[in-house]
Amino acid sequence: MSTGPAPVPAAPEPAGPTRPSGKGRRAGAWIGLLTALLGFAIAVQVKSTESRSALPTARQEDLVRILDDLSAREERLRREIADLQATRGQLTTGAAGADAALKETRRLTEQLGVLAGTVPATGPGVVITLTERGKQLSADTVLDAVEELRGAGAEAIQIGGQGGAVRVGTSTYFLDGDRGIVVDGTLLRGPYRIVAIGDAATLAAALAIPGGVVNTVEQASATAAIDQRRKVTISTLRPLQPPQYARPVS
Amino acid sequence: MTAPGRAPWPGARMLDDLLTNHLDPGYAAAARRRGQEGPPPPVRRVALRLAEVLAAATIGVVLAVAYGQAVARAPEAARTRAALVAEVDSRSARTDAMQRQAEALRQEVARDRGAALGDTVTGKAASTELLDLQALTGLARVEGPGVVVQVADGPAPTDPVTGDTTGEADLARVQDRDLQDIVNSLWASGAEAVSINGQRLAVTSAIRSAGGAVLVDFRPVSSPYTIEAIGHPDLLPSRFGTSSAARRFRGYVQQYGMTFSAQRAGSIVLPAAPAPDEGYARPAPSGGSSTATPRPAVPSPPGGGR
Amino acid sequence: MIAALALVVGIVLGLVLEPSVPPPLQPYLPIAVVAALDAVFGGIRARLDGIFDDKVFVVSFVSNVLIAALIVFLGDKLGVGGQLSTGVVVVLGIRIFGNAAAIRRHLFRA
Repeated sequence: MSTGPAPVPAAPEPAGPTRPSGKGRRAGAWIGLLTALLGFAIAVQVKSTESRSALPTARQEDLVRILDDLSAREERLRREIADLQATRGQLTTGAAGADAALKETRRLTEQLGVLAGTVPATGPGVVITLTERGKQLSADTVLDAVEELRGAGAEAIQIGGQGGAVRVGTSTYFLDGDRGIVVDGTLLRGPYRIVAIGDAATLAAALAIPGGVVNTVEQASATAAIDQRRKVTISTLRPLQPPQYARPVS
Repeated sequence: MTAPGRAPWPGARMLDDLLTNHLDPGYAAAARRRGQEGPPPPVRRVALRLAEVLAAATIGVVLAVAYGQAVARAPEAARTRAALVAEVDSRSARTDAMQRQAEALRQEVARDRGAALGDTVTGKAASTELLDLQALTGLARVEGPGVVVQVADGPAPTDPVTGDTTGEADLARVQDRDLQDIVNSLWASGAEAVSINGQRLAVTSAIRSAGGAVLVDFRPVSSPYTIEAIGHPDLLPSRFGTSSAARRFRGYVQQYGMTFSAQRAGSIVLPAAPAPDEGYARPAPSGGSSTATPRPAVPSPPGGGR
Repeated sequence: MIAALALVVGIVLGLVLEPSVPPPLQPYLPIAVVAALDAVFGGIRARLDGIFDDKVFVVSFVSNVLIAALIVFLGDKLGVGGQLSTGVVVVLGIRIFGNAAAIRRHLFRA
């Protein structure tokens, strides 16, 4: 680069950094405070936008229903917390404590077993018979029925058909198969017989809602017969397979 | 400002004006004219004053009417709905707090129980059996490798003039069937524990829709949805990637603009679900293989009557 | 001063009488509001600058509202009503801010 005119000597630098005057320090404090507020406001707004629910688009009836469900959930949690607090008070160490703890653990295991499918279960409920006429029912429909039953409070569900019966657990899956439905690896063919234990009236109502399972089944030219019983027994079991990858965390 | 010696870009002058001259140039021109010609004759002045008063009053009316329109006259339904939404949000927050409290209590009880059972073989076996059952039914906090699936609603089609959403927004929205589909495929691919947006799926958890929101185990969750599953670190993601749900969703991505992604994760922690109520089911006495007491089933009336 | 009084009287009248806006005009109400605000701020600044003129105030208000409404109306017919409406609001908003800044300088010397 060609040299230009000699650089103008810079103004003499003040010796060392000057201390900010009182006014400058106050302004600096104000600036700091305001920018901190700004950062805080940005963070809060971003957080609130991310977590904003899609609820404003829901209809009023839907919102009321969501509120009902939330109340039910709240009740459930409240009861669970009370139970847990009671249990915590009862568990003590020592020989007598160990015995009592063992009994309580076994009772809890059996209770869970009803839900998990490791023990036979009995109680009031419904028996649903799905009879195909020509067109095959899809796995989606049966999955929908199971979800609807769960939502209505079914505690134990069993699905049977030609080919056997399967106890429905948490990880039960439904896939379309050869002229039938594969449930947890077992091929079942129609007519299907679903037994569910719970409040019979609620279960039956949940399936019969407009646009619900009964509708879908009938659209597939099949029939759905729902029978409320005061006592049903589910005896198919689901062997307990300890989880290999999901480790309980303490 | 234009660089010296360059022809000004036509828009530059307009932008300059927009950003610096905010006052109507009429005022300056009028002031200049007044300076040159003097004040206008009294009659004219009174007329102008009148016009000014009228204009100011009109502005006031316009502002008040707009306020009335926007705020005071907002339809009752919208305001009730806003109250309902607020109620749902606050109650969700409350149940979440209770959920955390229950979680802490569960950990404590599990520890106390482990301590109380002691070191005996039977005690340890009983404890392990219970923990395994809890993990499988979704009632224990678990950790492990697996896959994280994320789906989100597509953009709702909007009317270009008004910006409102048209009625077909439902198609682009992820519904309960879609989530059920994904979860079903995850179980089929070997998942051992699954959660949606932090809500663990227990044996009694249901995925249902209510309006635009999806309810998982009675708690509303909304887009974007994060579905986490614990299972074999390699087989689970690969089997899920080729499952029917994954294929279907890739189609939705093309058609409706939904988003879908599935990634393996080294460590996922899933909370426990709230315990279900002790309800109607009781353990049956073992040895009973009979099914439901026989009674003729009543077929549903033809025509789908309800 | 009289203009300010008239403004307040207008607001009170509008709140008390609660006139209902005919549906065809409803989409233009927000635009009219922004144009009105622009005229008000412009008037206040002109007053503080010492160059206020009644005629200009009236004309600026009326023309702002009419032109803004016309732009939005045309836009609706062309299918870009929403965007043009946004554009009008942005421009008027910039002017409002500029005038407000000038007013602030007059009042607070800041």
